[in-house]
Amino acid sequence: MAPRGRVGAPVGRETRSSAMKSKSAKTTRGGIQKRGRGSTRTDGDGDLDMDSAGARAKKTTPADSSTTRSRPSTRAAAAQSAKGPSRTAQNVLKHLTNGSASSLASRVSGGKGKGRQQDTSGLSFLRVGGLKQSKAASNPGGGLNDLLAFMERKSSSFLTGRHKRNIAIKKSHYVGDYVYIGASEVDAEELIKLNTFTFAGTPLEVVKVTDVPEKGNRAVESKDTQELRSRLQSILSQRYLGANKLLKLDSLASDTDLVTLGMFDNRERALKTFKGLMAICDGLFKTDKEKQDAIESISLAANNIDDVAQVEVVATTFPHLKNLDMSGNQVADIQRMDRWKGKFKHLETIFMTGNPIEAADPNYQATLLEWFPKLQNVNGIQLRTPEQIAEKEAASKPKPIPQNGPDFRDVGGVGENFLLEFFTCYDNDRPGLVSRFYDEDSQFSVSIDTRSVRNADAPPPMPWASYIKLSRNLTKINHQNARVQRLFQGANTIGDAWKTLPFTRHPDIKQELTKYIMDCHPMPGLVDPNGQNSIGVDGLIIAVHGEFDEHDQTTNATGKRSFSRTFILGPGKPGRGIIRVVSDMLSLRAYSPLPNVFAASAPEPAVHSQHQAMIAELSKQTGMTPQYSEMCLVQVNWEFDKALIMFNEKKMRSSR
Amino acid sequence: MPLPDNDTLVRVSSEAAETFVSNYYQAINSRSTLLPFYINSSPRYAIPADISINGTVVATPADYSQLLEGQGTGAHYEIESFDAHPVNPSFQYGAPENVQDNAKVERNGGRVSIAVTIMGRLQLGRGREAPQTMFNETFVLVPNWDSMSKNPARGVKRWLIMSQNFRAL
Repeated sequence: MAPRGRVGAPVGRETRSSAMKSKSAKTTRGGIQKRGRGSTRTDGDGDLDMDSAGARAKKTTPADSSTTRSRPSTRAAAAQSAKGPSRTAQNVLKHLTNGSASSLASRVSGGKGKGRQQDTSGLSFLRVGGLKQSKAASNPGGGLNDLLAFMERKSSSFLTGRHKRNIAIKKSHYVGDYVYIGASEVDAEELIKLNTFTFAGTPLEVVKVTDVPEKGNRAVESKDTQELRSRLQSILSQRYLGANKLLKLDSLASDTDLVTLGMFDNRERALKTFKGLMAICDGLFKTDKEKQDAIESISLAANNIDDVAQVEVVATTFPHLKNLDMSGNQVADIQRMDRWKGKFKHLETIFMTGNPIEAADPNYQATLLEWFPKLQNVNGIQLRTPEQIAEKEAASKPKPIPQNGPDFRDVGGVGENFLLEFFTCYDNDRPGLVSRFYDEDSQFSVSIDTRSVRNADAPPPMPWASYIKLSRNLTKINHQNARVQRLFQGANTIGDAWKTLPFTRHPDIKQELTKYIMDCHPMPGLVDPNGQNSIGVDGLIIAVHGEFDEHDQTTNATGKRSFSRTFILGPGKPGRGIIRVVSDMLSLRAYSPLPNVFAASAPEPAVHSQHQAMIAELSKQTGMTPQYSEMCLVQVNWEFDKALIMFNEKKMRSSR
Repeated sequence: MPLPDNDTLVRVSSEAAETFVSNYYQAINSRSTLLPFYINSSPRYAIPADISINGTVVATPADYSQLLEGQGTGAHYEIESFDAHPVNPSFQYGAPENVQDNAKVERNGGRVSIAVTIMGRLQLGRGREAPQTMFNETFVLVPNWDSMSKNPARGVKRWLIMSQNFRAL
């Protein structure tokens, strides 16, 4: 979609150019509204042509046109002193570029359904009627400022004594015949009292409203605004090359159309004009995708840009831009491009020729490559390939620390034998287990993590009720007493705690080893139970991760849970078992299957590409789909010959 | 030898674990140097810490930092639960012959070794969409004898990692 405009719109260019340089208030209006159409109306913000004959003729209120003496108003005075060739153009640009993004968007896109929520948080809104019929309507700015000043002053004047304060109107705008104002709730309470008060000869109607109509309602937009918009649209469409998806915004200052509109009279105006053009561009597209598809390249060449801050809006309006021509500008160093840093995430080509930066900063190209991740080509020279970019992206992706099989540095099979015995006994004979491995100094505690992440396809988590009272999750258990009570010490205490915990069934370690991850290593410095070695004795620390089926005897609930359990094992006390549990820390979380750390930990990419090659070859030789080929290869553990044999056997069987 | 009572052991071990857990994962998340957390940083310990990460023994804290670096800038560790047990109330390994005020230090639990187990989540990459996994990690913390000298360095840690076992789950 190209920026379209009403190309045929008649424009009185000759009158405008003569009006442009004039400084008198009367002729500062551009030619657009001077072509007396007799139907001039207020635009969306109540800007009204004071000197338009049509406006006066249209008045239906008793306000006598001969007495439309402007009420002195500081706000209006400021507006009056503004000079420039096209006041309407200025207004349009002001509205296009100032204010919040939402008003900008709604303004430009009109009734295209792109409307966004206005920020009305914390404000009460009132609808004020009567301004249009009042004498003030012919004041500069449509008398809006006078009305607001009147309302603030009048309502503040009612507040006396300790209630004395200044009432403030926070927001206001003109929609149709009404002015909508927003103020804090208490201020609104006061403002509403001005209902039926007389303002500039007309009684005001002040009512509370909940809905505020959108500001940029086309229906109330003035003809002038519409016309300027279509002028700019027309200029844009002339500068759009649809076949190349290129928007040529080069040498704007020498565009006769723009110059005659007075859009580039001074630097400030030029900047506003540019923002306005961008806003119009943005409004032409219903979706970002549409915009992205229509405009891939923009030329900003020869625009005297010395800091991209002046055209920063290009980056926000066209974040998906691929090609950008900045040649022939005045960018002197990389700091002058800083405002584009981190933007243009899809930019592939940039031209910077003819800028002072070329001579001033020999490294600027490297900096640009850093800033724009997809940038390949600077000044027509390919600096990196898409493959290099892809590689760089892949390298910057997070790489999890690789998983390996058990780090089981056992000593004399102590750890292995303990684990083989432990889980079977824990499931079947907890009292026997506690008497065999735990003594009066052994410690046990359980802590639960109720917030754990689970696989998307894992079953809903089991309730925690049976564990809450015992859980020693120290992030939650902060009191010393609770911390003491929930650390079970001594075989008897531990045995009692285990009695209250739900029944469990752990997978058989020998049968289902992949349901466990077990790491074990020696650790020095345990208390010598014989009291001989003051340095202490060596033991083992074992971390086991796995799952179990749970049967809660109190609620009869069943289901799976995941656990991690850390044991510190040491030599047993004299006259007791060979080993003892020094410490037993059980951590529970909702069930989620473990990663299979027993899977070949060989370098994965090599294996993967090898597999892909085998799949392709098998598909070729057998005519099976790649999916079937893969299934077949997996079944025979990636032995290609066996896969072929299996295929032929099946084929023979099925053909019989 | 005046050993600490049970109440002291629980208090000291829980508080040491609390401090350790918050500082250690903060250091990991902010890519700070990890060496000061390990016995490798203390001349009193003749052995290096035993660091086992996802089933692989990692030689030094710097090597572990390098592995962490490979996870990208967005990697973030968040603690969901932890628990701690006092292991040896009067740890001796590497202890100097004369610990300043030894009786008092010992009675106050200054020489206790501590087992800490942590459950948390590891997020790789930034944003809501970034994949998250659980992890479980167990540490054995032992006294930092350097912190008991007459003029300990400022900010010196009271406990150091002797053993570490990490698994992404």
